[in-house]
Amino acid sequence: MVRVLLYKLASMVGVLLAVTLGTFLLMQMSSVDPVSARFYLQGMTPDPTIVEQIRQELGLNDPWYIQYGRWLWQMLHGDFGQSIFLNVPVVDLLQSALPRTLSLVAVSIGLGSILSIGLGGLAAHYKDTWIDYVVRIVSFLALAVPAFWVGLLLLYALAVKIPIFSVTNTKGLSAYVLPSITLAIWFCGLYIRRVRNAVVQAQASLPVIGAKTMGIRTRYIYRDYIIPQVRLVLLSMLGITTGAMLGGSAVIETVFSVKGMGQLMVHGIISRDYIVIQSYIVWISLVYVVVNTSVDIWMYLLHPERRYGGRP
Amino acid sequence: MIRLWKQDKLLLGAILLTILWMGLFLFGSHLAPFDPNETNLGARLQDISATHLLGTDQLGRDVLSRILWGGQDSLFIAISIIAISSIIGICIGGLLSMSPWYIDELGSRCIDMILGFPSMIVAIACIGILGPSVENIIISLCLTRWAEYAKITRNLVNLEKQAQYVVVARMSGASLWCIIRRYMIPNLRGTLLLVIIQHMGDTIITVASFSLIGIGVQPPTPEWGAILLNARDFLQTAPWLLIYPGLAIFITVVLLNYISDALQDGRHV
Repeated sequence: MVRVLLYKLASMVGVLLAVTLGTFLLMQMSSVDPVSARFYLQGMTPDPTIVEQIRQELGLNDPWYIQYGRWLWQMLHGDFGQSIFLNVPVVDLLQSALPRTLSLVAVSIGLGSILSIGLGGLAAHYKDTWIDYVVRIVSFLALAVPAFWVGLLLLYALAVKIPIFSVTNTKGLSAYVLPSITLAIWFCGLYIRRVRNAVVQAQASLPVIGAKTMGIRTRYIYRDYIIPQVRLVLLSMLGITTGAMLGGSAVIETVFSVKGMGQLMVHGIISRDYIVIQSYIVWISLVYVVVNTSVDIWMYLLHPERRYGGRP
Repeated sequence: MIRLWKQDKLLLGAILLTILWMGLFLFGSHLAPFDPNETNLGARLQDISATHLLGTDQLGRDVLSRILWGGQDSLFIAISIIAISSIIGICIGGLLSMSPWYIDELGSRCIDMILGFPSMIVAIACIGILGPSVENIIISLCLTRWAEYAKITRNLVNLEKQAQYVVVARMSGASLWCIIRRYMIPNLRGTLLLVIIQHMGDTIITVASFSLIGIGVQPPTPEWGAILLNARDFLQTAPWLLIYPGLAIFITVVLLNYISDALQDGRHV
């Protein structure tokens, strides 16, 4: 047990180091010079000798491994640098943006799981009836429809036609309702079919057939045989879906003007603010890796027979 | 074709409809009634009419023409991403399955690591580093997409390698090229085609999302996502700006997903 935990934590740190190193090296290779960029931003043409002097002072002419080490050291102490474009510490931006994105993703996953487990289970229970067909069509359409379009249509329907929500509202709880529904619909597209197929498969498995012939009540069959099997399928997908949701939230946040990580990143990309871009990559990777590792450990606790990835 | 007609008329219909639909955008530049970038400030934000079948946008550009032109760009970008990533992936997968076990092991571990990371985040990070442009979208999406093809190819070739007919062919002195041509390509074709069709819809949506949030195809190029970029600002006054470009993406993806589902269920390939 302890060995598995240690192995998982070590691989987590390894992945994070690889991500930071990769980001750093790519940033070094890109042609943007942060010092001249700041000059251009203030409407000045940089003087090459002054740029060189500032570069020397900031240590930008040191070998890459020293710069990388310094960058890591600063990040470990909570210093992510100043945003070039907004000229404020990135930490301040992250402090307000990260909780928004995390709550948005968490609420959507919760909502989406409830919907997809409910609908998927229903479809499997009434397999090959009209209920099954309707659920399957719904899940097919949910998978094919672009999430941003759902968002825009929801805005049009529920903010313009029937004014329940405000288009420009970005404060309070109601600002999160539409984005969460949008992300949850996308989540359903991915999950309903999996849930349905997993339940159908579990129902056809020998233990369940055996239990049925012995006359065990349906409720207990679900509790003891079907749910554990379905849980495994869903949990193994949860890690990668969370990653996809974190990426997808960038699109949804922009559509609904939620000032989260995604919107921060998009502004960073458009204004070529490399400090913001770096911080986004590091933080989103951190969140993703932590979620994935927790899911792995959770799966290990629930299903010790599936010890993949780690040596027990 | 004839076999398909007997087996699954719905699927054949969907395939023909998809070809027709894609053809519409391939020749969209000839069919479009207006120049997609021609601004006409006298006809701003007009509703659907006989001259402007799907209305006009905030600069008086014809929405129908923009959708037709945009489809060309959207499809072109999606097809190039899939072509590049599938060719790279299939080559790497094939090479891995033929290399010594330690290289194979190492390569497979790397592929699993890439597949473990969400491609959307990798792509956003990459565009962030490289800067937003058409080439960079293609590069950043190919960066993760190839891994899936490599994994599928490697596993399939490894399976095929042990098949009796391949073993017999090798014993009777068939050359490597002959085995690839006679056994590998016909056996792998179906599965890989299925994956390609599956990825197509997904890729179109991803590219459009990037353009929509402004880090993809840059305006005024009429890509489907880029057309939607300004639609939000005119939600109250001009809903057609957001409905029709989205519908074009939706129909394309529905058709493609339907074909891939039907192929998967029936294994017609």
